[in-house]
Amino acid sequence: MFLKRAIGNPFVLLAVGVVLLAFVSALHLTQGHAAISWRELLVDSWSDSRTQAILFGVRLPRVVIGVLAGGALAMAGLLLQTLTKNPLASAGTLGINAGAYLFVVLGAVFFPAIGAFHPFLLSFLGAVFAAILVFSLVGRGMEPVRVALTGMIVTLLFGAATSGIQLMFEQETNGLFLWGAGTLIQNNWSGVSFAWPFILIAGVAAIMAGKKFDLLLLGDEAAAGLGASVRRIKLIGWAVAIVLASATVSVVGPIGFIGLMAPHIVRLLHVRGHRMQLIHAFVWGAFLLIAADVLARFIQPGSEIPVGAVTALIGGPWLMYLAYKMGKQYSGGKQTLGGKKSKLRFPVLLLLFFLLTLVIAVFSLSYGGGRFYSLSELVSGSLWHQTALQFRWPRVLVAFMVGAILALCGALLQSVLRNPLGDPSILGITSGGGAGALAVMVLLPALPYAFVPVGAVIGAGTAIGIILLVTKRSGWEPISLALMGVAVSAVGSGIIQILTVKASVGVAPVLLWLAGTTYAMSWQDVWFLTAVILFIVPLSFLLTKQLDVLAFTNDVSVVLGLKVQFVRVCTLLLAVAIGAASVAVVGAIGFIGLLAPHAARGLVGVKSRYVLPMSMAIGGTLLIAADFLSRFMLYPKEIPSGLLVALIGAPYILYIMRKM
Amino acid sequence: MKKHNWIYVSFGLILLTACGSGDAQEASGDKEPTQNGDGITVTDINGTQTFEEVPKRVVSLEWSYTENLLALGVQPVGVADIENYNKWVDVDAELSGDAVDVGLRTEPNLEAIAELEPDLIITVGNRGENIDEELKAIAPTLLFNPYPEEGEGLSQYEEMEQTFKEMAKVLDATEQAESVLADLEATYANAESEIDDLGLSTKDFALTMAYSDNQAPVFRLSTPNAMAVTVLENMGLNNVYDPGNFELYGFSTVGVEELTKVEDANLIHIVQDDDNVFEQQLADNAVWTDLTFTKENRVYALGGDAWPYGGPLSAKTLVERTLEALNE
Repeated sequence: MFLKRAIGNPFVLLAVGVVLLAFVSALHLTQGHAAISWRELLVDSWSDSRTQAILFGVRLPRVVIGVLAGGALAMAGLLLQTLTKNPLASAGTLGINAGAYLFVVLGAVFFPAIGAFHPFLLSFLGAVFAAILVFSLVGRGMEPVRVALTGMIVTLLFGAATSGIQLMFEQETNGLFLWGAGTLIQNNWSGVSFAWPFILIAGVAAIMAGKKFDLLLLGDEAAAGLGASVRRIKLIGWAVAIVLASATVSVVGPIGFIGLMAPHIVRLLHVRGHRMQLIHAFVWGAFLLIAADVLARFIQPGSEIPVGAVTALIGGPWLMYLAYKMGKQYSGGKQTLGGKKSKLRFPVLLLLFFLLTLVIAVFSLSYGGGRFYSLSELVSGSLWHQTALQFRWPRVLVAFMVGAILALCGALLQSVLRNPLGDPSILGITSGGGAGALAVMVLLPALPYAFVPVGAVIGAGTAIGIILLVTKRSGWEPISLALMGVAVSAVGSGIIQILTVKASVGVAPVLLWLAGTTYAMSWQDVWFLTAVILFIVPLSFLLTKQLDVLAFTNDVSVVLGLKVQFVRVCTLLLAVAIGAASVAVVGAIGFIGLLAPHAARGLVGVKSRYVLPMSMAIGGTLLIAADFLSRFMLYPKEIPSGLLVALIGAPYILYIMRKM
Repeated sequence: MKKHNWIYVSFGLILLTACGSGDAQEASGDKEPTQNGDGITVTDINGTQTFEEVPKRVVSLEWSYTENLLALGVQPVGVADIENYNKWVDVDAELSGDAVDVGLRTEPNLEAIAELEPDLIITVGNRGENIDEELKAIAPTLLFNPYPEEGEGLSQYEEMEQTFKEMAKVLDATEQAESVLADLEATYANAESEIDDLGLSTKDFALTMAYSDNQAPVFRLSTPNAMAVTVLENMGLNNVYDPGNFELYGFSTVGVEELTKVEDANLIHIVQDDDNVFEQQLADNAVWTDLTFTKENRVYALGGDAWPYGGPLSAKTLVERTLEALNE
């Protein structure tokens, strides 16, 4: 009886948390390059100056920053989850981490002086910039789903910009890779002394305002009915969360999942009221982060595995579990894909895009070796010159075909998921493929390059396999599929981060592959893609009628006599085959699968019969243009076309979401 | 193209089983010229190649080979990333202004290379492998691998010499190569006697490249297989750092704590001026200031453009810079 009451008592639970935190912190202090035992730490640190220096100069700052960072991230996560009424919100999913990282990389390359003296300032600005961007794009409503999606897209956009810069300035940014995955390395107290005032003030402010946040849980109307100024409470909440998260990011880099997991632990413990929850979140967040860091150094003593990657590996399955639970709750959601018809008729539109593609293709084909060939030169045969035949033609053709099939892949996925954000990257195909490819490159460097795409296909298949298996019980319901995809992607990127750090010098080809590039395509790639298109495209078009029926909710589809599961699995398999094929040829080019179908539905309505070909036309045009720009813009340097697509595509998606 | 054969085969199989038709992809075998005339035969990571004539127009896609070409008295017609080459590599031979920049080392511009109509392309295995078929279609291509695996029985330094000699062979500059290498040996010998005269308290050293990583200094501490370590040992110094495990690229990435293991030796470092962790982050670091070599003022800077991954000329720069530093 007493025990039961004790377990339910938040103060007892808090004490348990503090004891656990103290334990892992002590364990943490014994880890490090210099072999120092427990005994020496306890006894000699009082007298021996060396032990003292190491303990107070290196190890203690690391523990303290870990506690501060873990606690701050957890508090920020808790607040963001309340504010967005979204149990999956955290600083990472809102783009704050990515914004901070982008600014730091920019600083390292373009303003090394500023980067060296005010790195905190730079990343702080970046974090605030990202948060404000998401904030302003979403608009007043702060609708949960839209917040999360906007955050995700802002993250992708910043990520693309960041890796672009890293590729162009390989030598300058080498050291930043580790930081990109979040690490607690501290060699003095400067990080701590920068971060603690922010975290203390914001944390205390949050706890003071705790009662007000409780009101938000009642719903905006009810809270307003009780006389609370909902807008002001929300504003305070956002401000506090952003300060907490960006102060943390600016010192330890982007560390994900702590802000997601800790608040859930707090809820599992049945701690009620935001005041108590925030205090609990701080302790449990700190415990999780220190424990993860202990684990990271336990796995590979002596070298630095980024703690952010470890939290992703632990957090991914956790998110999967949450997604699984939410998936049940969401079962039978009523999402449909929106679209409208433009005034132009379908054949006219298709013809227009065909002409546009033709113009771009001619432009692209006439550009080589740093100059455009004149019309007369083209006619007289420079188009058929050996270099053009060998390098330009296959490239242009592959760009168009890959763009088209990626768009098809996205269109199919979106129909199955009834989710306008269905995309190879969302279903883990991209990050799973990336992890697989990297694993081959880094762990088996002796294997020839030919095995890299094999790894990609295996990785992509594994990722989507896990997703499909776990969501089987809910009947592959759209929302649970998408959430599971995010979770699997997170684990995939955790693996990618660890491998990237492990690869150190050879990191550039890895980055290229991850960015997706239409560089150095051969005729064999052309024939391969032609075969894929000849086989898969007709099959996809056979499915158009069923896909249109799927666009209704589950119940309606069953009534209409459609074998829902069968059609879903078939479509998914097709989409995966397409996705893997394009990953094998060009690496991980994102956004086209997201963007092209969207644009297509805006032009030709929602009928799959029209959407599929229109998507393919738009996707092809887009990638062919990106490929041209990637060769043209910085000649003789090449920009991976995947990055350009992301830089063009992300703002478009953001624009669409703003309008929605 | 070998690049994606595996994929094609597996997809071919899927297509076959799925629809009963499929296209088999033939592996196009390498069509190396097999003439056995009086040509020059050189060996790269893919085997031997025979050249009928001495190549005149050479394109280099990696900095160390650019440097090697200059050492052999050959001005390359095309070079990858000239701007950064000049920033990071300082050797006793200048790249002519006529050399054309053919893009980054990661994705060199194939058409730009083709326009130069080279008769030899030299690149590094781990970057060039995925485009070696494309490069070979432009001109005969040599690929080298500066990072031999543990079991290969070849050190990084030996690989550097070997590659330099192979390049000399194909360019008909064997004598020049020998004189460069002899000059390097002489530099070592001179340096050794000079060091004896210096009367250093210890000849032990640890070599590190350092940079800041989110404000924390990070050290790439060179391991015994590193080329630069061999260079310094050749001038009579003695490397003390050995982590016990093989590091392919020749360094362990460590934090300041690890330096306690080498504090009795001299610390020789390469650090960029705009990211000088020794002056900035470490100046008031308790561990750093407590280390023996810091206290005894035995920390020596080589400068940011001493390139530890280059060829014989870079090796010579390393030796000269080290001497200068130890003399101060």
